[in-house]
Amino acid sequence: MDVVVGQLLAGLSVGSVLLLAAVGMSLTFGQMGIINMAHGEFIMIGAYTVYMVQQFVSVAALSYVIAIPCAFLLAAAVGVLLEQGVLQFMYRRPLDTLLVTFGVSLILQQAARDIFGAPAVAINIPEFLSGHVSLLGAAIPVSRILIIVLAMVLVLLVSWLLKATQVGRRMRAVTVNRELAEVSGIPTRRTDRLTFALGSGLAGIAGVAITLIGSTTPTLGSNYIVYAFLVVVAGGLSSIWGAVIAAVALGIVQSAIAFGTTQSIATWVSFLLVVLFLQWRPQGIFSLKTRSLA
Amino acid sequence: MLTVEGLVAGYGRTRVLHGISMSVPDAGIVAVLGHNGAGKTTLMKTIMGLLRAQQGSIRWNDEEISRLAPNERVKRGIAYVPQGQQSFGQLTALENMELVAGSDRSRAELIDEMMDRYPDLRRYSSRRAELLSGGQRQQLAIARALLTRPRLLILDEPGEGIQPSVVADIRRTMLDLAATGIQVLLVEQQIDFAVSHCTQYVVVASGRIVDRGEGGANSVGQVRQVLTI
Repeated sequence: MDVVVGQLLAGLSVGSVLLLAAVGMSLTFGQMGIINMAHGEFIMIGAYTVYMVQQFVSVAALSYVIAIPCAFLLAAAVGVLLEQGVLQFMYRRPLDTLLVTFGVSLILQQAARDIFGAPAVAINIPEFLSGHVSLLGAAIPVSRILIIVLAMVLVLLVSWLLKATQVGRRMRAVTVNRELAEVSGIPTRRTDRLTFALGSGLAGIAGVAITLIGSTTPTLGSNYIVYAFLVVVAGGLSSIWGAVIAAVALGIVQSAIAFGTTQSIATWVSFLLVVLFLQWRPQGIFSLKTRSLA
Repeated sequence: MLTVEGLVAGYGRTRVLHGISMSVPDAGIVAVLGHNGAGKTTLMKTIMGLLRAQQGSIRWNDEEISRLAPNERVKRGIAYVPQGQQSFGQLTALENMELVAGSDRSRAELIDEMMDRYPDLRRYSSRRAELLSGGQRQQLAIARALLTRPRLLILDEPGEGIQPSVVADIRRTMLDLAATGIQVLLVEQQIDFAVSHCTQYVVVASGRIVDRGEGGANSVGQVRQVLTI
């Protein structure tokens, strides 16, 4: 029984990391339909923000508190630059968008390499996050619990924003029917920019959290980009709750398979399962008619 | 006053409008008539900015608006109800209205006014728009357009595919609006109603205006004749 509970909690923990990486993408890819291969690099920007803040703030816990809004703003600013400078000209050209953002991801990785060096930078993790807590007989790292909480907070925040605010309603309206939104007086370009900035900023926050469980290197983001796409697509493009279910399910499946085998086998089996799932249900867990990718 | 001069527009390399010139005076209804594929919807989309004008000008109260984005045209007082009872299906009826009603104090009053006009919108305010009937969706589309406080309302076949009682409601709204000084540009297939209630009409065929004149019951026969040829 302890093993099952332990695996479920481990799966939840892995799933929350995947979800954290995918929350921002649920807006930029799920809502806007933009294939942004540089999304992982926005996560990387968030991670390096922690390192930069720690150069000025020596108290680790405080540096994390400061890093969260800084990472959001920095990643959002880079996101706006990308959207304004490149993507706005390619909204109906998904293949071009994919190639260009892949190029941007390489540029951002190289920029990080030039500024911070190729090896991982040293980040001070607050001491209270280094321990474990015993939950239903399983030992769970405190950092993982913080990530689960952060992922849930971000999901609730995005869900509230989309449902209860005028900006969120406009984001949904532009997704559902862009032409109608335009003739209804909604500034669609400004809404696009805002959605992309928010999605990028959320990736930055994910980067802050990911420093707690992995090393911060220029290629940090590329470890998460595929998972983020999988979670958003399997969840059903514009459903944030679909992404939650997909991330947790993927996390539990990975943990369960990795328990009896190796991490590599767990990864490819989970990819295979997602492919089979999408064969059966191409629209994902929840479906919504969104702006066409074509 | 809306003035269109020498308007050329289309889709990619395919030209649909070939130099259309017309105007909508400060009061009354202007009906745009024509067979399917004549270019009526293309003309409305170009006036609203959903299609780029390749040549010609669109002037609204002496301002050239042909380069403005659609939402800027809405801001200047032009509202558009597209063909096909379009709504934001995933949003509730109330959210559809709140979306365009702005955030000032009069928003609730305006929405309330729309719900008085169309009681079904009050009854089903929390229902997702995609679950409303075609007639209710069209009422919602008109309400959404009116919430932008237009001075010119463009209606593209508002009665298409809707039960007669709702069509009658929509027509009543249109006549009420015209009587209160809102200009109406109406694309319509129902010649009898459109021509007899409009102040002016234009007939479009193959992207060109082939006939125009004063509205009224006496003009119905003339329009029928033009459309039969």
